[in-house]
Amino acid sequence: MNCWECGAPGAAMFCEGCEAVQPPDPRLDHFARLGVEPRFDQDPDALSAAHRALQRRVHPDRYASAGDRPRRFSMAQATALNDAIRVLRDPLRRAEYMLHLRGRDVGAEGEGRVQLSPAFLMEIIELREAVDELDGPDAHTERSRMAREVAARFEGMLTALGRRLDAGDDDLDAMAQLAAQLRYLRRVIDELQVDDGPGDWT
Amino acid sequence: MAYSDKVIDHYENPRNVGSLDKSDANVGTGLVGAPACGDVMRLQIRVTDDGVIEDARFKTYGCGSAIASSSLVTEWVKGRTVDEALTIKNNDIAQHLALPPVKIHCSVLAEDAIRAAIEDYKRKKGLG
Repeated sequence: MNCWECGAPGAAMFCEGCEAVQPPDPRLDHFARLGVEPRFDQDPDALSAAHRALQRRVHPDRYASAGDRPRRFSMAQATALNDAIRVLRDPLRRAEYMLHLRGRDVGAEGEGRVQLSPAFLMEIIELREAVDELDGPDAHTERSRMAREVAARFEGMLTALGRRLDAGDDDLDAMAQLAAQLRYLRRVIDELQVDDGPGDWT
Repeated sequence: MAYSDKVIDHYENPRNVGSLDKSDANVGTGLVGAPACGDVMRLQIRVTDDGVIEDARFKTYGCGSAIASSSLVTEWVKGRTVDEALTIKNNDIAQHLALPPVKIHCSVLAEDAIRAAIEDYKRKKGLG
């Protein structure tokens, strides 16, 4: 893109010539926006640091007395950076985003809907019924045990999915299946954590 | 988003919640899921030897519209033949419950569930 201010070509976040802040480049994906490798395997601290460093440069305080355009563009840059980190710092969302970049939408409805096997759905129903039925003196211990078990399975499957993504696996269907299953498992984990409140202290 | 009175009624007083013996030769089980929202729905029918659905049960983990859609379908299929039950369309469900456009997929899920249950029943009976 050419700089809106001085017309110099190839302007990124800031123009190399006049240093004016540019509007977010719509061609950048979240990885490129944060300047990190488009991989599943990411160091969470490095991701946050990259986000923070860029965010500092477009902080509203810097543009408080700037003109209307730089103020708007810096705000848009800040929003785009936040969108990027929100997706990338969550490993499951990061994996889904990588599939999305390759043309597969895990949350698609209608035609492109990811089909889950009845066996897996049965397992999820049974897991959720087991959560509903937690009761009695051992309920708390049992809930913790289930939470650990499901979380371990979630982590294992997520790691496997990440490896396949980073290895350039072409089986998008299988990977979308995995991601969809992970969504369901996360639901169960959330469920196990939500109800894990009052019982502790009443 | 406001739910219609009918959705709220089915959500607060769901009909036919529970399960039927899935190993029973006259019971068909349909299991469907929507990864978009993480909903999962199990719908079961028990069919008489004359091909009439005499009982239906469901269990749904999902939003109010998904629960209402499956609850309504269990009411509708009872007393119908399996072939009549196959004519239930998601539009009928969505219309009856006054589902907003963003919740249409819940009625689609319920239609898929009844179809899957009937397919399972037919497979067991060697009719598929």
